[in-house]
Amino acid sequence: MAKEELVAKVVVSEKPDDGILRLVADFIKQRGCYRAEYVIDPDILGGIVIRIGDKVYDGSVRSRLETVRQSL
Amino acid sequence: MFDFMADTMMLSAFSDMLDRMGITWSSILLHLIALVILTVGLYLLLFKPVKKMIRERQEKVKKIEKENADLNEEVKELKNSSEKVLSEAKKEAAAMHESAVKVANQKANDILSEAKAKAKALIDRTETEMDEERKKLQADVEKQIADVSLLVAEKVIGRDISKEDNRRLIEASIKEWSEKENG
Repeated sequence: MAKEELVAKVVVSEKPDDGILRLVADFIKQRGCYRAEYVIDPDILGGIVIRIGDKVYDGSVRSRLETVRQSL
Repeated sequence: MFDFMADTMMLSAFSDMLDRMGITWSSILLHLIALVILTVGLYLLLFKPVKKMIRERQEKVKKIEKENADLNEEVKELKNSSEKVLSEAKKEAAAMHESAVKVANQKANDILSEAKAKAKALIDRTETEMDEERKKLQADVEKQIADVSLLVAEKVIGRDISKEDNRRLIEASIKEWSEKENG
């Protein structure tokens, strides 16, 4: 698959502002991805989830709470 | 001499008296002979058989007495023997009773020990099960507390997280991933 065709899937709880969009664009670019597809999902409660190919970066409040639940 | 004359005179007088009574010397002699014959006849015909009969009776009595004594001795021996047998039987019965009591006591002790062991095992098992159940229950309660706490946290965070908080959270996450991957 060519680098230009790789699309990052970004999940946030609310519409991101320009600062966040830039930050995400830089982040995915460093990982060889030049396009992002945003999904707004309030269920993640906050934070962000980025999927680039098979790699998933999960910084959502939901996943952190789940980690806390597991540790409890 | 004088004595002889006196004896002769007395004899003469006695003879005169016998004559007057009509008794002669020959009749006296005949009577004496008859008496001797009677005596010998009585001895032979009556006294001897009676004596023999008495002797036989005495022997018979002696024999019966001896048999009686033998029987008494035998009875005595039998009595002693039976007493001995009875005594031995009593001893044997006492020994058997004692043995039976001992066996019964041993059996009772065994049953008691077994029951105690079973009861202890049951108590131990019950305590273990109770302990496991308590731990399980405690874990369930802890899990439920954690679930409820997290549910409450989710509600609170979902309601209270501000736009700025969310932004800082996203920035922190991206920074963390970058640092981790860049070394």
